[in-house]
Amino acid sequence: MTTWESNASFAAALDACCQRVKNGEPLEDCLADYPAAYHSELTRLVPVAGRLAKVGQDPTPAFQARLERQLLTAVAEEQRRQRVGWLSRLLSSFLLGPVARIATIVAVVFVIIIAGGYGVVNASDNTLPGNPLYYVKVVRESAAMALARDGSAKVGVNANQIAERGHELKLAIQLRASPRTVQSVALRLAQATNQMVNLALELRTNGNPQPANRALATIRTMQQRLDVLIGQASPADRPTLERLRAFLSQEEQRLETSSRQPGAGRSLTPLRPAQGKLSGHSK
Amino acid sequence: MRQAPEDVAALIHRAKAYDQAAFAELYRKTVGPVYRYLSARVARVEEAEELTQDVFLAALNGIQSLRAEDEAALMSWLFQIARNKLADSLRRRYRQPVAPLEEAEDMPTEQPRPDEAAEAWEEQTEVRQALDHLTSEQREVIICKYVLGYDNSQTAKQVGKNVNAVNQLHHRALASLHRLLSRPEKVS
Repeated sequence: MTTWESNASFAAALDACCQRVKNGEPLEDCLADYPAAYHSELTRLVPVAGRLAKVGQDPTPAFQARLERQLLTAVAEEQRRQRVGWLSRLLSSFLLGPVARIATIVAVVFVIIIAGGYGVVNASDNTLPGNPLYYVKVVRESAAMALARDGSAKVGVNANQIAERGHELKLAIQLRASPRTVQSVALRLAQATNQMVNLALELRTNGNPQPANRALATIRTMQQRLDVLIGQASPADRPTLERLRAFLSQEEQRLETSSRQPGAGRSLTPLRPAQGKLSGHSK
Repeated sequence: MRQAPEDVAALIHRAKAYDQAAFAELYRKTVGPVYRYLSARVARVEEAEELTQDVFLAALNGIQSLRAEDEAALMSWLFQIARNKLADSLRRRYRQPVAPLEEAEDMPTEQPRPDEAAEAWEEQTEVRQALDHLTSEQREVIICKYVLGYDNSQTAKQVGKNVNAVNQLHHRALASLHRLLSRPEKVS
């Protein structure tokens, strides 16, 4: 230990000068308030404090708001799960079933109409399959697909869907959602990927390679995210994610193989991700 | 302004019952320091945002195990989660290093990036890399004092040391940073 380190009076001077320099005051002004014996050590160390003040940023308001929405949806989800715990035991004999599910959908559509949509659509952002608001997101995505002006735009919509499913997978794993929820999201992700690849190959055959490039980039980004998620997933969810990872590799290969062949994408083999493939059992 | 400890304790109690308003208030109170803490350690905005998201989702998952009664203890708990998430992220990065080009593409850029911003980014990266070379206690003291703006007693509470020990860690940290940042080959 140096003599300076154990000197409480110097420690106070160092602390005060660091704060003053961090707040923009010149070092010389601070040195003038302390004994000359301190000056060389203060001159050596205090400028470092000025540099430290620049690391550590504040979050943007947009990010804060987005995360808050996501967290509150997750809190509501948790609350719902707790409630469903005893409610389902009480009501399962006569309420839960296909009729209730249809009634829920009707109710959601009704709420969308009554509430003018915006709040509900926003609230549906961070939902998972099984939550009634998830249907709002599905409807919104279908609408985006229907409104896409051409094939290239449709590939873009698919790419957004894939990113959204990736986000849902992450949420499902972090919130320890049921394996069934993870399977459902994985299946939707596989379907969106398959749809995107088919469309991108068709467009490439017609002389437009851009959508295929975007599809390839989307698949590769998703593969990287999946690699991380596989490491974080519970043993029950891991096989589903690994099958999805393998499926994405197949789709990636389709895009790559066809780009090397003359007349790329002409002989399309529609690859339908069978439900059983991802859920681990055939239906 | 800091709230009375019983207020935070009450909020935590309500948050444990999944009260949305209480959770939102705790989130708003803590998101700034958590994000600043993480952004002092990682260069990319996206990574800091993703880690912050991971911290709060983990906090929601683990809220039943939270034993904090005041804001300082709550922050300690959140910073501990943040440290774990950072360690996970660094482990992943070690296993799958990001290609330099990819990293460059991910830098927080506005096109074209002005020279001044580029210099500031390089300066911050250099300081972050120097922070990585400190001991964990020295780094915590520096982050508490310069990134979170804590005073000595708050810093002491956060790192679990007395004020004298914090002063010594502070001095040694600054001396190490001075050495690291003035090396001609800089920190890598």
